Amino acid sequence: MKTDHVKKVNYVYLLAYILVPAALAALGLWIGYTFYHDGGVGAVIFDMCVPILAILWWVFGGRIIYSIAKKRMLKKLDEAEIDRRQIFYSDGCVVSMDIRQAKVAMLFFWNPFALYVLPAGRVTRAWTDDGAGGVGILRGTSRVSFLFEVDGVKIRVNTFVSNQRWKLNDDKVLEGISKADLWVQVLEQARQQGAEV
Amino acid sequence: MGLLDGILRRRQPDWCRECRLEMEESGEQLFALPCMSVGHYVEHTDPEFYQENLYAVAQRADIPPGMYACAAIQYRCSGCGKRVTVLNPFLPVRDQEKREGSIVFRNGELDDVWRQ
Repeated sequence: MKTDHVKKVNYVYLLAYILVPAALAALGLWIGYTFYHDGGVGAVIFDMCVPILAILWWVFGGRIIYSIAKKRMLKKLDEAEIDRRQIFYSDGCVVSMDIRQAKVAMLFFWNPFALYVLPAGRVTRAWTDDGAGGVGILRGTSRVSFLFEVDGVKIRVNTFVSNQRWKLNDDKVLEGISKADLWVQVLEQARQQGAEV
Repeated sequence: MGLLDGILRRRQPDWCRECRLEMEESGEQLFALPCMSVGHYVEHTDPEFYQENLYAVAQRADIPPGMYACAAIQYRCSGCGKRVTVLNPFLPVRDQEKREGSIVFRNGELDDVWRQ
């Protein structure tokens, strides 16, 4: 578990995630072209299977790693006796809050090998962003999130995301706003508790 | 009262089926439902659940974010004295509400809750 400066993105992992499958696919194509120019099983494996595996990796690999990291996070929190009943799973980040011990735990999609457990006193502010935009009948939102700052790093956790714009009084949006408001309150409460300790 | 009107009224919570009279509203109360939080709403039709989990609050501002609330209306029949309670669970979100379905208790099951 890390307690140092929060890094939302591990750039080595991000570049490896993008470039390694691309390099393997290119290598596969080169081997297929060079050694199996006349076709056959080798050509199918290197010219087709390797690039398909690379594409599958780009589509599913990150989610699989993130899913494994989430399970590992829960196990580590249990081992450290950190209360994880207050936990929020988002698409890009998992936030867990132990109000009693005033600790906030975080795991990021693009940095899945680092689990941050920090004193809640390091959270400087928290707020809700309803993402409202547009005018008149087009006024609505496609994203609701809560944000907080830790050591000056802004962390956004989405509670509602859509590829369409929804009206602000839609049930899905209201639920997203409610979740965000609840988490802002929890973060503020833990922050104040952390400041007192 | 026509036949169609009678059939339609039978479905109204403020209609006494025995006396065939419109009931009077005898009380309104806002309750907090602390055991239900946002994203975890489950409809209950068991009166015991509400007897154990409803807490009367004076105003909407007393309900913390993410917690469900219940707007309750009690109707009383002026003919037979029967009481009906209609619960409208909702999630308060700033100045708006996410409404869930109404639950009607026709046999005075929640009378104890009103006496809190």
